Amino acid sequence: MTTPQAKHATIRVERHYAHPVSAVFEAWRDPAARARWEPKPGGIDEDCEHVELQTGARERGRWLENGEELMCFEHHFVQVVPEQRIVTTVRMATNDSPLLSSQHVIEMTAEAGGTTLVCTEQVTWLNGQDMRPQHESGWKSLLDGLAAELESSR
Amino acid sequence: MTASDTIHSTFTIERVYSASPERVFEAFRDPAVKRVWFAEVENFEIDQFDCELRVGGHDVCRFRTADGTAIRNDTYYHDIVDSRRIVYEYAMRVGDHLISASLSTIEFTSHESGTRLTYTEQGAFFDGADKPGSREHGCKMLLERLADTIEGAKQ
Repeated sequence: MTTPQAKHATIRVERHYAHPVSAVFEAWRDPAARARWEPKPGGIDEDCEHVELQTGARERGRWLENGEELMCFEHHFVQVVPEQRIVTTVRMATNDSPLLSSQHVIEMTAEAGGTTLVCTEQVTWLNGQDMRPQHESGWKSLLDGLAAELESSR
Repeated sequence: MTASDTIHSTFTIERVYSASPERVFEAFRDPAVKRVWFAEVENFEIDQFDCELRVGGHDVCRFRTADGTAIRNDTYYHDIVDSRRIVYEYAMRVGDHLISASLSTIEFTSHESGTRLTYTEQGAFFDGADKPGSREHGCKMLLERLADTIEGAKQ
């Protein structure tokens, strides 16, 4: 068995929301809200019980296509500082083979007229592939999903 | 606290050891051996050293500096391929304050009659409490101590 060389990358995205930082944080904290707006790939069913965001919590789930498991994942919330910072690690595997490990730092700053959100992902791909385009489009979907959630709960 | 206080940094260290990948890997797996090079550092008092190299395993290393500052390392293993690769996350706290969160990859490859170890850390350093430069220096020191442990034990 060969072990592909790990690939590392850092991806940073930033977006401004015309909503108070309390609303932005609540959209992450509330498991029901997060289940609504967190994006999933098209045609995929997600089997995941979203937990309330707090330091030390873990969340496990699977992506399914026509009932077949495509991917399983585990999130570890390393640190949650309300209205300031969320540090999460992610493990993803497919057919028991590791796909990636990743660390996400989400930082929220209150500003006049709203909130600036800065998300920095430090990712290690373990399958020998560089999947930067997929991650960048994932972050765009996530920031769009959050925007839609904030607009609908205004 | 603002987002700009956080520093994200990636560094890679390579070190060649005159021992097989199996032996070098064993120095990460065997708690008694790892304790010697990883934790028993001069001027540090060890309060706790738990080491369990398995996917999902949680290592706790708690120690105090000479002035009594309590430092804690929580490590969680993500992926392990025997003698080839270890991937883990670790968080460093001073008292209750999180100073850094990192994802580390250690790769072991055969190199001539020994092993090339490649250590890559992707870290987030918070509130100016630690610096990537001093972390990199600290990791280099540990990898030198690992050499003393492995190569010293061969004689």
